Amino acid sequence: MGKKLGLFSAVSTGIGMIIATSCFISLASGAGAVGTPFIISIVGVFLLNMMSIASVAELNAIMPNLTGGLAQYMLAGLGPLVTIVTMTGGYIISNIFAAPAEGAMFANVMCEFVGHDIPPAVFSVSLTIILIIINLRGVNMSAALQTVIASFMVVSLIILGVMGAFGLAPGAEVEQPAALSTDLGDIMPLTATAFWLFIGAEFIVPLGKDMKKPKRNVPLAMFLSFTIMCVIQVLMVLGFKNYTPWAELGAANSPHILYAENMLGSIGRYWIIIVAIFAAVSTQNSIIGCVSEICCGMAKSQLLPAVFQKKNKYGAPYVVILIMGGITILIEATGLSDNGAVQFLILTSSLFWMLTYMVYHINVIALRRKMKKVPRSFKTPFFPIFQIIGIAGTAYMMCNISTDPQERIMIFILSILLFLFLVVYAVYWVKHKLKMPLLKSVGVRQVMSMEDPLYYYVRHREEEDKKYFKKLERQNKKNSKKSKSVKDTALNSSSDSDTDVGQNSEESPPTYNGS
Amino acid sequence: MEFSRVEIITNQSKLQGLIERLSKPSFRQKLHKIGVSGITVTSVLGCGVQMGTSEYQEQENDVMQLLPKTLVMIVCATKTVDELVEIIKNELYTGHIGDGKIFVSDITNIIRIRTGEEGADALNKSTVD
Repeated sequence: MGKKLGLFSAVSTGIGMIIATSCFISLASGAGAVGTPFIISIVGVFLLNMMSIASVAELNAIMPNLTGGLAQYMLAGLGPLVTIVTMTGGYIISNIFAAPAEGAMFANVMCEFVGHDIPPAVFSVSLTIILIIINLRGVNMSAALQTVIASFMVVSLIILGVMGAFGLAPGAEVEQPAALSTDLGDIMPLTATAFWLFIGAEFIVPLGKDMKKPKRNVPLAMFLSFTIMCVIQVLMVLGFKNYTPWAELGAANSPHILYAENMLGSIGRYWIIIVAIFAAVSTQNSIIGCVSEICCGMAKSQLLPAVFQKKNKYGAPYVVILIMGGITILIEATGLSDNGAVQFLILTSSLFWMLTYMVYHINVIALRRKMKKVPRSFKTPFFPIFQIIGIAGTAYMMCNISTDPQERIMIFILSILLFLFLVVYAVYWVKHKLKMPLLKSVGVRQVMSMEDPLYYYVRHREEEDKKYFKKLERQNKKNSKKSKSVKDTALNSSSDSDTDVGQNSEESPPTYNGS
Repeated sequence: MEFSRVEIITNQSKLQGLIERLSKPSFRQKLHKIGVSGITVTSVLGCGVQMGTSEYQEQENDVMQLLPKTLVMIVCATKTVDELVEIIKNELYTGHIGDGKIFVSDITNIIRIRTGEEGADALNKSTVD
């Protein structure tokens, strides 16, 4: 492992994960529905998710520097069943759909740039392949890319936001009311839309073990990412009011392009296109990098097959990266990522993401009772008020996952089916592989010891030794074949000129073997 | 003024962070404020209740296995012990076995041999010279 990551790289990862191309659409649809009062929903979700992040930061303080991290917190708080269901549903499945959806958006934007002669799938698949290679080169390489991209995005969005909010752009300002509705009954359900604007900062946690001063930097980076994003989103909504008619904003397929074009003309259009490309790249990069770390951590805790914890010489969990990347490429290549069904599935799995945030709060409450005196470098203030508000607020967002009642019911039905499937899988895995009680939490001591690479080996010594000896045997066979073929080539080349040497050489192996 | 002795036994690797923190001028000023004027670090061999068992092992050792550890001794004013212990706990905590233990005990007197000063005078810069 090379240099340790600083606070800046960590904030970049957080922002890279939070800013996705789909965020622009959520932001515009919320603002298009009620106007500037959407800021109330934004700030509300910002505060709610800050509480969730505070709980994650406290869990990280109790169990610092774990691979992946997030799954282990669940395991220590609520046991293996809850961990497998929430982590698989909330992070793995939702991101399996989110990564190709971002790829598709990248491809669409690229097509706007270079024309429609090249199929969009070529762009999305190429991007995923590049990101797989970058992630296979380890955390530092991935973080370096993330830092460059996130810096550009943040600076661009702040400039575009400030110009829009204060009416500094050369484009014609729109005369329209600031608020389309001031009824809280219209504004509050939009918190579920705003939820998408503030997720993913917890992906900084898996980087903890590669960071400088993780005790200080992990929570700080998460809070900074959310705060920067909140400022950007609020500025953008104010900017929409000045430069984009609310009706056009809600109906536009690419509202961010419309906004920038209205402000700065073609320069704004190309600028925001570059930002959108970067947003898609950074989100997919964060997903591939961080979800693979989470899976690796789950494998270390034996919540997923052991093969997922294999790492290459750069320290990257290559098996998960390849599987994750492979699925993404498959969805992109078949054109499914462009389909509305994927968006619907993302929305469905986001319910699990919300559930995960609720479970973090419950974990903090459980561990405060169980391990009251454990030193915590970060403690959530006003315990348990933040946790209770966080749980209630997230439950409210889950109930309002979609403003369309029919879609909401469909999401609930699919979520229940997915939930049942995950429960069946989790019960099978915990009973047959882990051989543990389903709902009994695993002690922090055991969770921490699972981090040691020897933990798995000691408990599966026979299987691992067998594998090792088989591998050794294969290698020996390969080596002996290689040396034989080298000898044969040498013999063939020398047999014409010196027959005696060749005969002696052919006779020598039996003598050697015999001795 | 009453004094206490704070002794910390921890893994050598984990001590590095504490030493780094102790080396920072701002932190040393803070320590000085709470009455810490010196520190003694010793390399020792030892084991705790786990008998030197490694974290990954399935069964605990039957026989004590002594492992290299570091013993840090700090003397400070009794009223500041809690603050000091809090700092040390947060610095050394990793959640893994081997984070160590902190022992706090009372000191009945401190004597600087060279000057014969006692109590707080023996800890602070000598006024006799």
